[in-house]
Amino acid sequence: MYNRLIKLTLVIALCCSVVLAGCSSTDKESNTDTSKGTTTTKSTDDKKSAEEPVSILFPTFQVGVNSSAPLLTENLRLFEEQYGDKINVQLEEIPGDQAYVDKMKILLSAGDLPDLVYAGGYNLLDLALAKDQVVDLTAYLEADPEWKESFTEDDLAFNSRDGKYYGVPEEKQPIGYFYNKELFAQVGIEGPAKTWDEFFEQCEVLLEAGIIPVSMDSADSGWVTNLWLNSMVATSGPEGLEFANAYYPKDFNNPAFIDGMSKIQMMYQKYTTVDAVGGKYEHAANNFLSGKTAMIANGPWMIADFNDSDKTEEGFADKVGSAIYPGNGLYDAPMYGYFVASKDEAKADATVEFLKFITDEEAQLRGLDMIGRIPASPSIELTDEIKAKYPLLAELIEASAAVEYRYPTTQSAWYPNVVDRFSSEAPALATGDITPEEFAERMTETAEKN
Amino acid sequence: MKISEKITQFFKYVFLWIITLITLIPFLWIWMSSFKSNKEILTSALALPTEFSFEGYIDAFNTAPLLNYYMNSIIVVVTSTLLGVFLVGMAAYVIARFDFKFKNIIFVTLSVSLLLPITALIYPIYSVIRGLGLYDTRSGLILVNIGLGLPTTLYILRSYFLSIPKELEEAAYIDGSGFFRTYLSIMIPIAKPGFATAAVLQFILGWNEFLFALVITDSKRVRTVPLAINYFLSQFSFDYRALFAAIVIITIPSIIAFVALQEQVVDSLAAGSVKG
Amino acid sequence: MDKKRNLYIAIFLMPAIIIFVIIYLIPVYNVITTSFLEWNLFVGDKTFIGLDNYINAFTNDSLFMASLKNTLIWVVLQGTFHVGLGTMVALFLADKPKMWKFMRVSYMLPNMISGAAFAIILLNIYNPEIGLINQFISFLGVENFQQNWFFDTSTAFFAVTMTWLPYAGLVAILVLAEIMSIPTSLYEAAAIAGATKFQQKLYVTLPLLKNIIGTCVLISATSMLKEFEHIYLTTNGGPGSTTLSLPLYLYKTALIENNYAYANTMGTILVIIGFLIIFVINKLFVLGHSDR
Repeated sequence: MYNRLIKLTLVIALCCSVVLAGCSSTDKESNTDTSKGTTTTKSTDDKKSAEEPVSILFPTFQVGVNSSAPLLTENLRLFEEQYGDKINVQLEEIPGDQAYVDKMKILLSAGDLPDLVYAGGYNLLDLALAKDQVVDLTAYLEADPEWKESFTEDDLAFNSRDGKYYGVPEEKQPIGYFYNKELFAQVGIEGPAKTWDEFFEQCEVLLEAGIIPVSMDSADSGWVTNLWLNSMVATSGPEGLEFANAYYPKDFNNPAFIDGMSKIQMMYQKYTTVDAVGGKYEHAANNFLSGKTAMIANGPWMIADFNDSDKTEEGFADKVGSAIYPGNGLYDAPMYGYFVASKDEAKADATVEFLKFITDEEAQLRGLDMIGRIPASPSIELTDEIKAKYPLLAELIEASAAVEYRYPTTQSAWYPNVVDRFSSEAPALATGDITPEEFAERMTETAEKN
Repeated sequence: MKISEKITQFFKYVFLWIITLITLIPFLWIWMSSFKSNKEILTSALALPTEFSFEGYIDAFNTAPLLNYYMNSIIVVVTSTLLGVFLVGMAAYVIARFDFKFKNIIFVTLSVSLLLPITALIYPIYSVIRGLGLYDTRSGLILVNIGLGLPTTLYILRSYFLSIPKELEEAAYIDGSGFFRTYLSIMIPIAKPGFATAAVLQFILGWNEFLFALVITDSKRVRTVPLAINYFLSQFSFDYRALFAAIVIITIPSIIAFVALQEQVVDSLAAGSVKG
Repeated sequence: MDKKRNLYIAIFLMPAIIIFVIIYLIPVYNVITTSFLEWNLFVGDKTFIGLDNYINAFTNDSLFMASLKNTLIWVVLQGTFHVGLGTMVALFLADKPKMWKFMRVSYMLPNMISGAAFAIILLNIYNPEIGLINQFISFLGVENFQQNWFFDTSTAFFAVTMTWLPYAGLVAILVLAEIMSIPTSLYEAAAIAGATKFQQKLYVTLPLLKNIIGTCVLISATSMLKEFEHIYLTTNGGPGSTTLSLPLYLYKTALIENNYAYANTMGTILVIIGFLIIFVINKLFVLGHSDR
């Protein structure tokens, strides 16, 4: 009896260990990639360099349906071709922007940041700097003037702290709005409005003809709605412009913001679809793509959707026009880009090499050509070929030359918890349960928590 | 049959079918939508597809490493289900059946696992898994899955063990049967419905677990299926059709596991193993 | 014999305890101790501030109070209505009506679809324009009843509460498995004594389900202290704080505001509430005692 018991215990223990060992042995086998990285760095320190490639870890959300995914795949392929024997880029696919930020924050707090991190829109840079995990890029940029010149001074300054460069952007993102030329023509509107008064007149005309004027949303960050809001604030006068350009504002109790919110409230109630309240970006986009609404505020990445037969009818792209905001405004602000967080010099060198490869002028041109991404470099001009390929893009860039007021998106300028509060309070504002003043009060309350 | 009984019968059926419809509609909707185009899904959510297209399924496989993740999920989830239910079942058994020192303290302590918010778990679990050298391994995922399933499995199995007549066990002990043997050959078969149900829950939990699959792995080799869903939703881009196709593909193993394990419940009844 | 028995008990408990130690011990310790600190995950300093976080929560934080109230209401609804519904379904299914196996699978379906997917479905069902509910209302010809269910302050709480109904299938499955293991001899005895089917259910089945129903109440009620994904992905707690729950507020405080100490204060409060719930349910159902 006792024997059987012992046998049984052994069998169970064996089963468990076989299962666990089975898993971990396969794990270890393919884990060598990671360990290779560290061994290589050690050997380079011993001056036995260039035998095995330096391995760098690069997590990215530019996968799946993300519009940059094809470009990244191409960049990686080209890099592998040219540098494959020296540098091995280990890609970690993190689908979903929020998932990316969440994971980076966890790695950051544990001091385990990967070699290359994207800080755009989420301000991971300052968090990482507070934890002292960022590599100073100043020397690298000074050593390669050509690379340095592929960014504007503003962009570089935005990514520096105390005179040191910590990051470089990969693109520019001017954001205006799109309008449906066919619907405009139906009601006799000639072109995009020059002033906000004219804009609201246009809305009224469209509404009378039974056309819903604008696409709006409130879920997630209320992205599309926020684009209208901050444009109204920024073009309302000097104080508004200052507020719209302020990073991490804590006080929302100012006339420009409150006035903007009361217009947003009116737009929710009169000029947009019923499902805008609580709607997600997808719904707002679809309402424009299906010809239900006449205008949507959004960035140039949306242009690809105008040609996507799965999302809209054939030939829709020809009906779309691109415009800057009434009052002569445009989202055009310096952007956060990538920063390097390698833990030793060999890896940092390799990472910078890769970073150069995906951000230099050649890469920016590739991005422009492949996915219509607007280059960060001031010296890249649109060729006729590109203009023919992306007419809407050309239209936007042309219009942007004369723009008077430039400002950042609220998503990049506000504290994340304020962006979140906006999204949960907007429905209450839309239904009139709270006033714009109360709305501003709640935003302030949330901002002050930081 | 009396008229009044027929009427109760009728209402019972209506009630059951209404609930069936409510629970079935979400899945039918996803299934139907996976054949529609994005514009149809977002414009006329409830209409039937104008033409059946399998492109969603093709896109689903092309956009995300579905097959790869699928295999990983099967290995991770099946292992964690078997191990989890067996190991936690042992604890549930002694807690339900025996009195011993510190029993209440141990049980109360284990109950904390039912109450801790996920956010409190993320960082510590990440550090522990890293510390154990289990980062980016299937073993790490298995361990975490068993841990996350611990409270529910413990409570459910304890409840089933409590309902089993004590005489059965006592008879076994009198026959000279040992501790392990009684557990294995008497308690487990009797509590089979309980084990089957706990296993289903552990399976579904592991199969849908997203957060830790993201946080404690970084390569395609070990990542599991819940992460695949995110490939179809980006901040300014979406592909609902492929997303729904992926959800249909992903949900099937859970349904199979459920049907297979629930048959156990019926079988054990038919075999008449439980006679009071 | 007694020594040997204790050894076996220790061996049987060991795996669960080891798993608990690895997965839960550090978090428990962290949650409780850091709730007395001022601590942001990224700014390293930790300052001891005693009960300030707790005082702040109860006196100064309207969002906390709103979410606490919502959470408690939901806990009660889950523990009563939800479990009652599931138990009723299980009792009906136990008679094995036609297609009962099919019904059983379909009741479990909502539990099988991932939360993220279910949220998308819910948003579409409640969508004010194209959603199933409003379309049905307009089919009935009473358009006045159409609402933006999730995002109107007057209906949001109700709408969110309803989204948990499909999950009652889980209770049904648990209870059903228990009913299945009730010895048929007990019914035979009751039938001989002249009990009708209904009486059999009332006097034979229900009392024997005490343990599993108690367990279901406990699991359902405490799940409300952890679940936030649905609300997060549908109403995001809005409009205002109408549907904000404590776990969701905690999640936001930790991951969006990076305020870990305060999040863990709420975590500690949740754990305390949880223990109260466990205690009450144990008393009500006299759980933990074999009664056969």
